[in-house]
Amino acid sequence: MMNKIDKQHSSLHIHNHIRIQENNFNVGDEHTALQQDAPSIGAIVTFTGLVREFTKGEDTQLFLEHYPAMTEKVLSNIINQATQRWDIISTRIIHRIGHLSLGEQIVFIGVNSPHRADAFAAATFIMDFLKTGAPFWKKEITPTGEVWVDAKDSDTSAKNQWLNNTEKTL
Amino acid sequence: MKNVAENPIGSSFNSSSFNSTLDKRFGNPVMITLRYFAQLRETLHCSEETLQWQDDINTVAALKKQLSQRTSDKPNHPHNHSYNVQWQKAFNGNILCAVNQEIAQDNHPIQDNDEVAFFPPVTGG
Repeated sequence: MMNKIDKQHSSLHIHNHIRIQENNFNVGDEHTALQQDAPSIGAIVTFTGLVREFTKGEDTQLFLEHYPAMTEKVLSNIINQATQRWDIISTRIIHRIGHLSLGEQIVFIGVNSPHRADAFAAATFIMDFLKTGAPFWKKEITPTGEVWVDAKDSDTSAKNQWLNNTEKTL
Repeated sequence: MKNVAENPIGSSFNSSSFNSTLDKRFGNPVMITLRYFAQLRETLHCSEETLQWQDDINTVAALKKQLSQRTSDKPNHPHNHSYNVQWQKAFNGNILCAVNQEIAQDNHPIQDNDEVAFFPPVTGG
């Protein structure tokens, strides 16, 4: 964590980029964009989430729905919180909606920071809060029927760890 | 009340005090927008509707209670019972509420022009 003056300085240059879209995204392009946000800065951490198999041995598809106006607010708020905790230069969040097949990219988090520890921690924080607070819902579609995915206690525990510890140790 | 999504048998509140809902300045009813998402949207057959604000739905808890007791405006319709049961189940279950796109607890006030959304725990990422 940097001191207050440095943080204020860096927050002047922060670029936050949030996109909700049906189309796929290219991780390479996103990485390049993060580099271009701050060419002289030391660390980029990215996370890409993929559609995994929910029901074994079945041809699974996902349908993703969200609450557009609230999604923007929640994600901006998560980024603000991360920016207050760590020294972050820029962030990129992409979340896909609509119909997705097994193995497809569903979510992308990218964080740009002078320090790798801050970049890792902020990316994890953003993902933990996105999973438990951003208004997205997944429906699993298999040949035998459709079922809305249940929220997981483990995701809530992951988020709560951040609330119990002011400084996360990775 | 106007349902944007298709709603097979319509709906209404068993409500009494119409006068208290009038906006004194214009004589127009004070409206709120309700939105439903994911399985709630599907089981209630409604994604969005507008509702006349009333004194007795001035908090999230009060609104939830009203909605859980919702009945069809066609009491003799064969689906009336299941309609009532669906709303009852939905609003007694584990659902979240957002007022103007921010998570709101049961004691949160509801006012003129508010957008109130109900949805299950989120599962993105």
